[in-house]
Amino acid sequence: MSTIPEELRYTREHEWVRVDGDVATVGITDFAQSQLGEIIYVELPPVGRAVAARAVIAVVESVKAASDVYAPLGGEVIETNAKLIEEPGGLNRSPYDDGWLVKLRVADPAEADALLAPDAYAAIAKE
Amino acid sequence: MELVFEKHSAASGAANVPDPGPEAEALVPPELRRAAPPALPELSELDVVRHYLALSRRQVGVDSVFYPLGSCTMKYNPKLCEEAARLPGFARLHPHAPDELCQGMLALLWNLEQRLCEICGMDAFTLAPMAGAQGEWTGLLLVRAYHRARNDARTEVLVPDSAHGTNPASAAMAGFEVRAVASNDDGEVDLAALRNAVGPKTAALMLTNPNTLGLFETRIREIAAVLHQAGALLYYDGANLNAICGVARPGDMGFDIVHVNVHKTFATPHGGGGPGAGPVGVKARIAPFLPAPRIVREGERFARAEASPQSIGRVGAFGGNAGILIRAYAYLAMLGREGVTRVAQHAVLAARYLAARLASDFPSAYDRPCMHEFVATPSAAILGKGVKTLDIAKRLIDCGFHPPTVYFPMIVHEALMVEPTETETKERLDAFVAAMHVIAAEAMATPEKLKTAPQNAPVGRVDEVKAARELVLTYDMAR
Amino acid sequence: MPFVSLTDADVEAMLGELGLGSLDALFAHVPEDLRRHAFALPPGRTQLEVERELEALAARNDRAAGAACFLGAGAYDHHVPAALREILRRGELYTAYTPYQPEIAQGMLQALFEYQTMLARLTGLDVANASLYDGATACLEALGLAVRHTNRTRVVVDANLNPRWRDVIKTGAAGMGLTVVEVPGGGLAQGRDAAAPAAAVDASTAALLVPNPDFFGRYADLKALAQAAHAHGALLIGAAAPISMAIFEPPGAMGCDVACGEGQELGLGLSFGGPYLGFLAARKELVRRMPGRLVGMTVDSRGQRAFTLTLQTREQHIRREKATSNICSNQSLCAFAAGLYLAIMGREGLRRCAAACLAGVAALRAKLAAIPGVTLFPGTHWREFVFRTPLRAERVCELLAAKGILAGVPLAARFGAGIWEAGDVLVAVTEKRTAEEIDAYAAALREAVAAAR
Ligand SMILES: Cc1ncc(COP(=O)(O)O)c(C=O)c1O
Repeated sequence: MSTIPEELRYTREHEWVRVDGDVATVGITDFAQSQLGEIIYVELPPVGRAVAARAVIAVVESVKAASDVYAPLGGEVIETNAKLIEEPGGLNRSPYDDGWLVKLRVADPAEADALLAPDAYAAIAKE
Repeated sequence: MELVFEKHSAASGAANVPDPGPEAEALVPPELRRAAPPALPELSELDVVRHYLALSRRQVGVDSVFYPLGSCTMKYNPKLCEEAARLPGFARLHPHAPDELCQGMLALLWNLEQRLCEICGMDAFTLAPMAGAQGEWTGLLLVRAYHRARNDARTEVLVPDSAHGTNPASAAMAGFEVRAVASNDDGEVDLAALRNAVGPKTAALMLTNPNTLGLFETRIREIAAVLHQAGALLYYDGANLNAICGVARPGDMGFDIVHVNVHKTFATPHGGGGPGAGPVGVKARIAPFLPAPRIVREGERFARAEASPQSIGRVGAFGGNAGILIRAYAYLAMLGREGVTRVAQHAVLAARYLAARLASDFPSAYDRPCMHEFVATPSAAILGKGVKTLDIAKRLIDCGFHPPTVYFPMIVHEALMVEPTETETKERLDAFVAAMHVIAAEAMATPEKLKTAPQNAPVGRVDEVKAARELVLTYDMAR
Repeated sequence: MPFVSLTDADVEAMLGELGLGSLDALFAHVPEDLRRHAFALPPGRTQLEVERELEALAARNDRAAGAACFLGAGAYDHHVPAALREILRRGELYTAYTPYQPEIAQGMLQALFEYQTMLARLTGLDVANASLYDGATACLEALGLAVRHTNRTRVVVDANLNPRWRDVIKTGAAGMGLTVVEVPGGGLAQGRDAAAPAAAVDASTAALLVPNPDFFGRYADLKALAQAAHAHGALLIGAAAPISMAIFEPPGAMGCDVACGEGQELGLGLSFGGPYLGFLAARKELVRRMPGRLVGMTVDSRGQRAFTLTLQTREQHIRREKATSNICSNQSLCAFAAGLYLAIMGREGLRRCAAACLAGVAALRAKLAAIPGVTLFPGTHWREFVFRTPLRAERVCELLAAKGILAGVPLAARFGAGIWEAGDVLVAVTEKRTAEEIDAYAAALREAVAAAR
């Protein structure tokens, strides 16, 4: 059983979002990391890039799979988790904390309300 | 075992070529001269030979073991074909030699084109593409040129969700957007989904038939009609031609463009990953777009012609992998009309037989008669033991078999794709069946035995995670 | 029946087990009308008959295959060592496929790893892939790599690149979203010119692709071009000839980020244009954008050194339409052969081979220079050069062919319009050409030109 923290919002593509004011922190869920297996490489966007909602912002790779990570919300990249470049395994170990990928300054934080609530995501992550 | 860089002996490479003396190098201006010579091995010829023979002992091919690698048609590679390609008249022939002096070569290639046309039901072939994927790319550039010539800018290529990875990759390289079409519960293209997906933007659908699940697309005529009515083309990925060769023709099914993998259907060796060849055939209305060079016949004389002004251009520096095409020609010449049909019949029989005999422990993913290959999965009981398809594959190595293709197509969970080909004996097929059932029993009783396999290979299970994480791609990166 | 292994009794037993009455019944679900075609193919023949036919076909090429071959323009008549030919016939190697099961493919994997190492050392770069189709597609793929790396789409190509390779780039450009700008790299009389290629690079340029040697056999120093490219954040791609690197400064040392080209000269023979070997080497930083297979070193479950395909997430079977290339089957056995060739030749063998080409070119040029009516062009020529006579080049080639000499490639007749003229012949001299052949060449040309005067 994978964990799905109550305080986060989710997408069908297995991203999670934590919105704090106008800053959204984005990562991939515990379910996603367990499906991918041991993560060996993470590609992150340059700070300052403007991204539209649902645009690819990162790529997460294991040996036998590569998965695009989409921006759940539109905004500007203000920080990326450079520690993951050194130690991509952090994403497997701690998908919701040490394993965060990107922080976005979002144009409209209210967009997050349209994302999936934990119970709705739980139904998807079971499939 | 040692790397070639870790051995040293009296170098003998110098003995291969006369020394022109120091004056030659003095012709090179100092700023163009290499500062230090490249660090190449310095070994006696005997040591080189021993090194590579030792390597060959750490390798298996079709010549060593049963190699039922699905989607790859690992049939026996007749030795006459090897000899033929090495005849000096072929092997020492320069591609820029004037046509008058390579009439034998051109005649062979021209005849091969004719035979491929007949086998596939096409009007013209180009032998230029150097592998299946390059054939796909060529074919999709033809699709693009065909629509362009009709002032029809179509941007989308459809591929089934079960398609081989080269299909979407080739479509993307040819500048198309790729759209996946779902398969139905029978493992065939879902006609309703196809009708939904097809529209004025659709340039083509890429399809293998039998498809990558080893199943014949029984509604192929309707599929073709859907595409053609929408003004789109139907592309045949010939990777699975072995199943229908000499029985039915893609051209008759409604396909407009095909590629064949001569390294599958026509018995040219796989070379440890290539080279092969991927000739492309087309219906007459697409022929003007074929790449250069075209081989033409004028009476008894053959020549290489530049392509028409509508041509997509060139896809390689010369006319394709001629050395491989010679082998394919020789193979077809030996088989002849009845032989070609017999190949497909026996290939399908062998697969159908294996599917039936394995079913108790490895049920087929689709409960339908397969063609030349089938996709199975380990039974629920086996998977319940935490055993993966990968473990079964590795254990097969211990039993003296090359494993089937695993984890393809992606739409089947824990897929094992088995393609025996027509060149194996019944004894060998039965031995494979027996080994698979023994492995199934081991999975239930001693799953560890599978998870720690292989034990009898030159090396134990290889750590692919470490390889990707700590990239060592040259000997110098290791130090 | 050739190459089917089931006996009639086996077939009967197997059909019986399946509850089928005939082989045709296997195809019952293939619509009947699709199965009615009567295949118009010749009847099967015995090995003996087919061997005779092929020998006869091959013999019809013997005049060309046995001539003194001064042809080049992308394929070269270098010596193929006997030991190489012998080892390439090992069935374990050539009848295997892609080493997806590394435990039983260590032979091919290690050999390809060794090849990658040798190519990296030779080119002066960090990494090399395990093969692409040929030199032309290697150039196209190298441009694709640069586009992915820089996120730009404009590429500048020195027009003195092999015209066939330029054709392939043009074929692929539109689909790959490339805008190709061709710039003159120096005429025959002027010698190579770096000014135009350098000036054509701008801030929207992904890469500058420059041949070295160029199509006319001329070597140049690329360092200034590297500076020009890098000043704009573009990559410099050197299309290079492997054997020459034994003596000449390799692409990596001249500042190239990527080296690519044709590896046919590394022991592959001529074989009428293929199978050959596209090679591609690059700086480490570019490895994730590279097309094609890569072999990596790792360990097995017992901690022993082992090899495996790696970074497969770049490839089509995983990444599908987002892959760095569509390549699947490649030219592995050719890469294997090239590694083997380099191991056999070694440092000194390769140096001699490269030097012999230099010496052969110098010798033939010296002789041709003495013939009234023959024009030569300046430059540092390694293995190839152009000469001009008042005759049409095809005529020159015909006259020499009648004497058993394949004199070279008539540029205008073969490649259409270019910076060359109707009388220009591109001639290659490898280590295989003897002093006698060079003498005979000069004598025959002298006669041909004199007769025309
Ligand atoms: C179904 C299918 N399509 C396409 C290809 C690509 O062919 P190639 O490897 O010759 O490029 C393959 C083979 O590997 C295949 O199995």
